[in-house]
Amino acid sequence: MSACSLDAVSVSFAEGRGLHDVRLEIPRGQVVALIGASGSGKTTLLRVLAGLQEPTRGEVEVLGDDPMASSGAARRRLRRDVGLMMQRDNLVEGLRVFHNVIMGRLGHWSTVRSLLARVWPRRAEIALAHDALQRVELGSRLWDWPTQLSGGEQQRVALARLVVQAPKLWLADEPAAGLDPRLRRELLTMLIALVREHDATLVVTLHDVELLDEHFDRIVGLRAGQVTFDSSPAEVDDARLAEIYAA
Amino acid sequence: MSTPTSRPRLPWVTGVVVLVATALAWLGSGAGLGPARLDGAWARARPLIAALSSPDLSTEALTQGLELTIQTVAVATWGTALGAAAGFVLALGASHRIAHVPGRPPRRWRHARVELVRLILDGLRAVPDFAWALVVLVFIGAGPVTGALAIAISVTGLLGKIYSQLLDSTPLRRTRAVELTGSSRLTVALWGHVPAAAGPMLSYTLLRLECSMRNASVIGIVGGGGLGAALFEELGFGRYDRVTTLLLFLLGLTALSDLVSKHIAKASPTRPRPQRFRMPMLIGSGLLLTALPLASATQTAWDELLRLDTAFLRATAGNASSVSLDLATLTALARDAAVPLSTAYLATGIAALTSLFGLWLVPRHVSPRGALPRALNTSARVATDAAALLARAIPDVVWLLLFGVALHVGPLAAIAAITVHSFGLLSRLFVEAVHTVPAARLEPRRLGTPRADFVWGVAPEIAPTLRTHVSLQAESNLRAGLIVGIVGAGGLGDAFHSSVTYWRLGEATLQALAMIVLTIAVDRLARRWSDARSCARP
Repeated sequence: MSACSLDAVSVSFAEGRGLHDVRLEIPRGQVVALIGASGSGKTTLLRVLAGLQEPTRGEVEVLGDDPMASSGAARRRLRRDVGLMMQRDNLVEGLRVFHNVIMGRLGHWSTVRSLLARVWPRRAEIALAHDALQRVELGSRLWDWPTQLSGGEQQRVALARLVVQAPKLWLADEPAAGLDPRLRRELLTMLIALVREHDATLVVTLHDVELLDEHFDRIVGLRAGQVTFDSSPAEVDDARLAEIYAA
Repeated sequence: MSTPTSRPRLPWVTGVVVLVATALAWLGSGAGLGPARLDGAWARARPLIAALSSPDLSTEALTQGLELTIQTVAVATWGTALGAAAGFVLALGASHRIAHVPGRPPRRWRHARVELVRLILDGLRAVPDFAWALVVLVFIGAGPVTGALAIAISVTGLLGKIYSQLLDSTPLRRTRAVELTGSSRLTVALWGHVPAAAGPMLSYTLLRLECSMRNASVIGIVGGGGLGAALFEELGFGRYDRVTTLLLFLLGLTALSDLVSKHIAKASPTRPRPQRFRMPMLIGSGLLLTALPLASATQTAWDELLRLDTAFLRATAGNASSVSLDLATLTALARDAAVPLSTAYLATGIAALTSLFGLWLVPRHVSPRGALPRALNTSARVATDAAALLARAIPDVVWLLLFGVALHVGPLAAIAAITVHSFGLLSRLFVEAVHTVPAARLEPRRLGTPRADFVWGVAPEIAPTLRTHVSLQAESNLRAGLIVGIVGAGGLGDAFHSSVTYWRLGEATLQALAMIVLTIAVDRLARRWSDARSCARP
């Protein structure tokens, strides 16, 4: 059964960049990397899957639903099952690390419980957030403010939120961008390990081909909004990379 | 079209409107401005002036002053807290950003709901707390609880509007993380928009608390408890030594709240974040402490509410819409509305000119050469600053009562009161404006004498700033004009007071609507004028 599929999806923007006739099917449990140069359509594809961008043409299905067609409760349910980690601005600055992590449960809670957790959280909720933070090696930062964390630490807090949210489909848009090479590798390894542990599906966009390794099940190459190749990591060689990165 | 030799266009329209309004108001209200007002004024004022240097410092007077000051603080704190809570709830409904789902077309009924809540906030904001006090008074009688509720209603409108604007200005990227968790709109608001806007929301609430302290100290004049009630009573009995004592407490309270507010404002940019959950505890204990002085008054208010003749209220509630909108009614309404309007503009004009004259007379942009001129200049500065400080520390309503001793409470005393208070405020703002002009910018315009430098160098530099201050002060003085009217100075406020007192609900509703329309119209006009000016002078 597929976690998500795109059938002849196109997205047009006034400035020209977008997606053109993209067909892709990702089975549940797969870890997929989307690679391509800047402006190749990676982020747009991810936004389509997250329900943040409406396609101009084509059919999208995420966990059995159309992310744009569903409304109200159905859309919220779908969002609960789809976790998105962005390049930046993942954290709400006015909230402590604890709140930013436990936020992952909001889709599972009633409005009253959400309000109570904001003002006076239960012990179990504190423990849940703490455990998730320990998974990303930030257990001691529970009550810090986002502004007290480095860029890499902020991304790890966003990862801890996904752990708490436990979505079926994890989407990550260049999560390691802006970090130094060692931290980039560390964060990506952590992300893939957590997805595998939760038996979930991951679609991650990457700009940096250095990070491609055997941990991925599939690599999808994009160029000018079109899929140029869709293969296993072993099959991605310099010629394929030149296809998508050549000027 | 203007030719090179024609004079630049002056804001003559505003001038004509003010003149016409003033003339209408004076003629319509039988003036009360004639020289007859001044007959015996000095004789009436002399005992008060004499008592200003000999306050009643007996234990009884001091205990009374202290108790009433504490009560005033309680009224202001509870009024602000209740208003902030209600304003917060309404602000959630008045924010388009919260009502609509990003990336989806806005729903028409949600748009209509937001506009309706905004209209309610405008109404609550435009009617002054003194007017609300008169309404609350009918239900629970006079006392500090009435003052707290009246302030709460007004603060609901004021803070509700500010909160909703702050929530609307939250960048979308700051709340997207919460959206993506599948939360409801309300949860997104409480976890995303509110934390993002929390800092400025807190600052505005503290600023409002400071204003509430001033308002709570005078709202007793119309039955809202605190220092104002006693001040009004003692003035009526002619016990001016007690009046002086109460004035000292009032000055102490306003000075203290001013200092505390400044301290918090200074600390806020680098404010250390409170420890985990300390904030709710701090607010809770503050409210609990200030609840003590209100405990027995709450019981009295509750008893009063239970004694309310509900059958009478039900029978008369229908009168609210039973007013005839004939020409005579509308003319009377326009005449009443012209009084606070003309009072506000006249007082603002006189205060602005006096403050400007003060700057010219006592130059602030240079220190004169020579020991004696410098000493004279410094003493003149200190004296002017002290006068301005006193003028702004005493609320305009209290100035009205003090002037009322000599001139009787009426339009003349109202203009004098608002002028003096506005002078205190504008004078400080004008001096601050002069200090912001860098000395280097004035160098090419040095003409020799400090006063010539002021006219040709400083004044053109600070003119746009002064215009903004004066325009804002005029808006604020319109509200003051309505309030002093309620206390007896005539006009719309006075008419509203009579209508509520004699339970003429139809007229009262119409007058309240006139207050709302007047406040909103002046607000929009002032904004338009200042926008037009700022476009003309980029």
